[in-house]
Parts: sequence; structure tokens; C-alpha cells
Amino acid sequence: MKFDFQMGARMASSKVHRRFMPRICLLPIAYYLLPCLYFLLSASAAEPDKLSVYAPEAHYSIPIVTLDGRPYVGLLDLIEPLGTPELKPESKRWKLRVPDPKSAGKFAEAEFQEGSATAKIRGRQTTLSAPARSENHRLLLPMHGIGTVLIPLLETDVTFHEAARRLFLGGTASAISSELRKGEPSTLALHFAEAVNPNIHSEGNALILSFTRDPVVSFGENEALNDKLFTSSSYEEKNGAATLTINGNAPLLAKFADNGRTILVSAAPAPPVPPTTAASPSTAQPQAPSQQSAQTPAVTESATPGAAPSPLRRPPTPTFLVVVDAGHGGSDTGARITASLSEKEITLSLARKLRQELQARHIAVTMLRDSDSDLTLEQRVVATNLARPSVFISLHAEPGASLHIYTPVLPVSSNAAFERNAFLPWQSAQGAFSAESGSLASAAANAIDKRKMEAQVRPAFLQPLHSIAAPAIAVEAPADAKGLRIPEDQLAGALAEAIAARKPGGPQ
Amino acid sequence: MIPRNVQITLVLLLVAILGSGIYILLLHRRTEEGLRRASDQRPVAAPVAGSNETVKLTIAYDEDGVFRTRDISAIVPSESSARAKSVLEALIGYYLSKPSPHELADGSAVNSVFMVNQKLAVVDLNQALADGHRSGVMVEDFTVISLIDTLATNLPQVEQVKILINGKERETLAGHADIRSIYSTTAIHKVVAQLQ
Repeated sequence: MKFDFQMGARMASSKVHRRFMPRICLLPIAYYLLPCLYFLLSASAAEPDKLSVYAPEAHYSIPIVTLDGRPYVGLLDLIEPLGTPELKPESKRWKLRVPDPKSAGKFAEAEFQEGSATAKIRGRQTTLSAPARSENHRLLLPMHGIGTVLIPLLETDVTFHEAARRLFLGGTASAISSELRKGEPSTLALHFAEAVNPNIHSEGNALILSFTRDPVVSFGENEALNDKLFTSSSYEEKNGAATLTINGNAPLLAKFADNGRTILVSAAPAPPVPPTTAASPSTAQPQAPSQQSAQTPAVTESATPGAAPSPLRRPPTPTFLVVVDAGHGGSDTGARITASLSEKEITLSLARKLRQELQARHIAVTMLRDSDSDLTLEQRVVATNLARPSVFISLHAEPGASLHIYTPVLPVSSNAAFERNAFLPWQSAQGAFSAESGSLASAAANAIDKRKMEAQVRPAFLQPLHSIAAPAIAVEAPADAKGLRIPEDQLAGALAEAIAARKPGGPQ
Repeated sequence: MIPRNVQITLVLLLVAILGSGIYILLLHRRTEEGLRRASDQRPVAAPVAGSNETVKLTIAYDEDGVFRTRDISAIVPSESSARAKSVLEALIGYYLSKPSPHELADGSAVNSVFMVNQKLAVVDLNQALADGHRSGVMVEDFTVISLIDTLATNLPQVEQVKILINGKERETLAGHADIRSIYSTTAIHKVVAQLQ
């Protein structure tokens, strides 16, 4: 009897076990996994610490290293873009020689000792806020009070916003001035001493301008604007960037004027009603031989001017969509324009400008990357072909002198006629669109020519163009230490004009 | 007592005899060494099985953005893989000489060329060529086009070319030019014709 009872109890317990145990087991796993996932996501999203340096010669960012809880910066990283310094280690002593900015042909000398907080600059003893350190053959100096080194060494003015990690050399800091032009609706004009190129995006009715490469500062943090459209503005500096937020009662739109020295903020126009008769640009999509399960990379899409970036949504797909591909990104720097400037930075800046120009023409835009992120060529193709764009444009830059527009040449010749509604091979999906790509390249060259610039149209064996199932071109702009050698807004304007002409019902 | 002038003459004669003796000894040794080398049958250089031929190189000119054909004289083996490698080596050698119309990184070379059915050439370039290559759409494209067109011009039976870097597939040469695809020599000839 006892035995039977035990058996029955065991059987019942076994049923309960089988039914509920998997769920019970999942709980601790979930409790364990969720914090791990949160930690991983937050760690991957965390921006590395950096110091933004604004000098008359160059604007650049350098990494900050934390040693014993103190922020340090590499001395060579800091001063290399300003000239041609020589830093030689001799045992634990580091000797620095930099061209004297005040007298040509002469050099300023400094000496640092590893583990010592005293340094000799131009023959004078200087005290650092912490001992100098050496790591991976780099001399690191404490970031706190770095002005005590730079002022005597470079004999220049230094303004250091230490908490915000922004260092202004030679009086480069320039204040933002704003002017509220009352009207129905009002316009807020933001004036800058030099052309600026902020990252602009909106969150609800707030327009956020983030300045990373521009030495802009503001004297006030918060300002009430007391207007029907604009309610307030706020300014914040953090981790090497300045952020200006304009709050309004309606969605806002930013436009550049005065060759980038003025930003006009106004009410965003109502989104255009898409024509119901417009045909979908393409239906057939190629399949990657090895990427059919590849994840679509994060893309930012903005169908209305000034709208907040949102994840790719399908359906509905805009009837006329442009996919802008800022070449390279992340660990792929592209061509090195100078030691501190790489192709990926120039292409992103140009892509953002092109997005502005296209949005101003009421054209929906998807950016394949809107930050310094890694994207493989296959991911770019997958994201583009899933978005079914009407036009694809890939942006590149090189340390050259001429502007090139490239049309794709398929590496594999095929006599078979490409049909858009048929299966398109991955390596030659562009074949069905090559004629349209050619005409788009010619239109872009003409639009550039109208703006008194010159562009050469050339064929190129360039990925990801071969696999793009849409009219596609690549633009390679010449660049030097100061960025693009041609006006960025003019180039973006010309490309946007050529693309807008292809829009059904658009300007011809 | 021997007069002083006779003493000097005798010393000079003795020095002359001694000098001549040493010189004769040196000549004797040199001759012996020459005879020994001449009779040595050990191979000291790889045999060049081929004839001196005119090789057509498709040269990229970066400044002008064009391709031009240059004829050079080179010893080219008759076996197709070795022939393809020699032709590409001649082209890379042209680019490595200074001043170069299209600079390549020092140490750039072709590891080997494999012929598949005499129609597909698999060109294995070394790591130095790819890693040290300048980054840019045009400069990278020019290297790829120039290599393939030179190969196809000198080996007309080649219809397709595949490029590997150190025996491995790579997406792009230096961030731009597609080298994962198999290239059709017809498509390459057309591009070269457009840019001549």
C-alpha cells in the first residue's frame, strides 16, 4: 500500500515535473540572461571616451585612456595634427621637438619623464596634474590641466571645457548667436562664425543639432523663446560634442543658408501625399548565395523632412525612396585622407547633407549608416534590396583632385536579357538597371556641371553596385586635410537635383 | 767594397724579381680558379624555357585616368600558367619601377597563376600588393583592370579571371574594387577600350 502510494505520488510528481519544470527552469535562465543581454547592449552602445580638439589647423578627436581612475591622452595624438612633432623615448625620458609656430625653422623642445609629474617645456619646469605614463610605446599625459603643457609649448591660447572634453586652441571657440524672426510661422536663425556641419535629427517636436567637428559654444544653457512655434532652446556639452536642442509646438525642420554659416529652423511642412498611381520601382530582388538569412543592418529612414529616424518599416514602402550609402564605417576607415581624417568621416558627412537636400525636395531617404558603424558589403546590398529603392547612391572620397561618378560594370558578362520580374543573380542583379544607372550618372554630372564644378563619369567594378536591384551610382569626391575639396552643399544639392528629376511628377 | 750605386741597383733588381714572382703567383691562382669554375657542372640559375617575345602590357595612367598599351621584350615560357605569371610579373615590375604611372606597394608580386581548362585563370596575388594598395575606387579598379587585360591580351584563350590574395578570397582589393567576382575578359576589354 505504502509502495503503491509512493508510486502514485511519484507518477503524479513526474507529470507535474514534466509539465511545469521546463517553465520553472526557464525562469532562472531568463533572470540570468536578461541582465547579461542588458549589459551587452549597454556596453556595445556606450560611446568610447574622446577629447575633441579644435585648432585653427584642424578639428579632430583623440581617444581618452583611463589609468588609475584618471583620464590620460596620448601626447603625439594630441599634437601630431598640428604639425610634424618628433617624440623620442630615451630609457624613461621622452624628448619632444615641435616646429615653433611663432618662428619658422625653429623648434620648441620639451622633456617628460615616465612616472614623474614634472616636465621641462622650453627649458622651464612645469608641473603636471599626475605623473606621465607610457603604454604601447605611447607617452600619455594627464588630461586634467593639459593646458599647462600646451600653452608654453605651442604659445597659443587654450580654452579647455574639461567636463565636456572639448579643447579649443588658438581662440577657435565661436559662439552661436540666435535670431528669432517673428512671423506666421516664425523662423529661428542660428548664426555661426564659420560653416558648420552638425548631425541633425528630431525627436517629436524637438530638433536636435549635435556638433562634433565644429568649435561652437554657447553662453547660455537654457533659453525660453516665448513664441507660438518655438518654446525654448537648450545647450549642452558632453563627451566632445555640443548639442543644441530647439523645442517647438510642431515638428521642426532645419535648412542651411549662407554657405553653411546659418541654420534656419522653421516648421516642417506637412508630408506629401504619395501619388496613388505610381508604380513600384522593382519587384524582383536578388538572393545572396550565402546571405539569405543575413540580418538586415540597422538603417535609419526618414520619409518626411525633419522626422525622427525610425527603424525600417514595411509596408508601406514609399513610392520614391532613395537609399544613401555612406561608404565604409566602423573598423573600415576607407582611404586615409590625413593621419586624423579618414574617408568614412567624409562620406558620412556628405551622406547627411545629401539626406537634407533630398528631404527638402520631399524625397524619402534611407541611410544605410548614420553613425560610425560597421557594415559589410553584403549587408548593404541586403538592406538596400529589401527597401526596394528607386535610386541607390554610394558615396566615397579620396585624396585626389577630381570628382568621379561611377556607373557599375558587371564583372560577369551575360547575354541573357535581364528581366526585373525574373530571378536576378546576386553577382549581376544590377544588369536589369544598368541603362537607368547610366542615365542617372549623366544627369548627376550635368547637375554638377551647372554648379560650375566638373565630374567625370566612368565605369567601375565596384561593389555593392553589382548586386543592387535599382538604378545605382557611386560618387567619389576629392578630399584633403580640410575635408571635401569641393563645396559639400553644392555637391549634395546637385546630386539631389538629379535624383529629384527622376521622381514621378518631379522637376524634369 | 761594392760601390753605392751598384748596391742600389742590386736592391732594386731584387725588389723587381720579388714583385714579379708574387704577380705571377696571383695570375697562376686566378687561372686555376677560372679553370675550376669552368669545369663545375652544378646548376646556379633556373633554366628559362622560353623565347624572347614581345609582351603587350595594359598600363594604367592614374594622372590621366586612361589605359595605354606598351610593348616590352621579355622571356616568356610556353606553358600557359608560367606564361601568365611571367606576363603579370612584367606588368608589376613596370609599376614598381620609378617613376611609375600607377604606383604599387613595394614587395607586390604574383604568387602563382592557375589555369583551369585553359579558359579560367586564377591569379593569386601576394599580401603585400593588397595590404599596401592605395585605397580609392579608380586606383583599385585600375590595378584589377590592368592585370586582367594584360593577361587576356597575352593569353587570348583566357575568358574569365578570378583574383585571390595569398590563396584566399577577398571582398575588395583595398576597400573598393570588387575582387570576389569572376571577371569576364570581354567586359574588361570593353572598359579598357572606353578608357584608352
